[in-house]
Amino acid sequence: MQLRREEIQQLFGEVFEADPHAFALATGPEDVATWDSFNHLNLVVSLEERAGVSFSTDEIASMLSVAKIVALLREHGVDVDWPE
Amino acid sequence: MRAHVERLRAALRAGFPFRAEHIERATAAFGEAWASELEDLLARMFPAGDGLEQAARGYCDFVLDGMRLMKRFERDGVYAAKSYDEAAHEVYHNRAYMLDLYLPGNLLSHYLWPHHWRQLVFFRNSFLADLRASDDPRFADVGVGTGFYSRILLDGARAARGRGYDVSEFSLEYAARQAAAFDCAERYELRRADVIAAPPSETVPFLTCVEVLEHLEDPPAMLRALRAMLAPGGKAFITAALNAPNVDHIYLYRDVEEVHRHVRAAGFRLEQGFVAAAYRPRGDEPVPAVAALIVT
Repeated sequence: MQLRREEIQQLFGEVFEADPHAFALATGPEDVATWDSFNHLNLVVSLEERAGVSFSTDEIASMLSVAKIVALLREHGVDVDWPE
Repeated sequence: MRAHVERLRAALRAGFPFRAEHIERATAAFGEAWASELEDLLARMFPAGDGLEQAARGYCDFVLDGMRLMKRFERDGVYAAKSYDEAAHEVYHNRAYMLDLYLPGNLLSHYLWPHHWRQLVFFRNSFLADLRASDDPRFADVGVGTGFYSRILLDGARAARGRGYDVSEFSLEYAARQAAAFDCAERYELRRADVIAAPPSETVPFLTCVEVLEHLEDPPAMLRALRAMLAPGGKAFITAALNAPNVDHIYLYRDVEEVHRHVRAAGFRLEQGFVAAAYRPRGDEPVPAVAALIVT
């Protein structure tokens, strides 16, 4: 499974109803007004569906930045094309 | 300071970012009475905090499982196919799943999910009040789950006496624990039974059946059994989940009108109704909701 930066940004944009281009690796909940608990869980299940992975509760708790989420996707074997 | 609510807040924050905000939101929406009641529940069920963190993790997993299923439901439009026997094996007779995740998650949802709290308020105002005023405050609770609604009746009406039925030995264990925690156990009898397969011989003036119909392959059969359990002139409180996939939800009610049809077909007359959605829809996607009916 491969995911490109643009695809991940698009997913973030849909979940948080925001401009996809606003999501950089450093982006976190403090940067997005709509990043609340409901949308966080929506993000989790959307990523799981899109990438075909399943995150643990501990992993979900650690998803506090786009960079961390990208790292977790890679740990789950997803080939993420998002340059540092 | 509400020590147990604070401990729950910390446990939720550890397990789920932002989940703790629900406590602030609920307190703002429902007031100090909500917070005090949650504190009392947590203090009684988790004295000295024992098991509270585990319950919080169970709740977080309960929510996450539900959201995963909701995602699939939005895409497919139907619940994942599952028989009652499969659900029973996977859930009701699975000790670890029931005691570590399902029952704690369900218990906390009565306070942390606004639509569940609103349903409880309706129950207290429109059903408990009648039981409390009755000169025969006996009730039966079919499908006790955590024992929560039984306990609300027993704790809210000190003359009430009840019998709870469930097919899960773990639900009975949890319900007994909750009744004991609220000093109601001596007025509450629990029986492991399927009231459709083995109808009770005694009728009661008050009957509750909360969060059961959607767990069945044949809800009308349960409704007919409930009708037979209700004494002449009696009153029942029956709920159904709408568009709410869960690991053990089998029958998909898409709207309250279908619940009404089933209830009427069983011989009940509608007296009052309540419907509340879990959240505001963002588009055309279905939204989980609860439907609660008071019937005679």
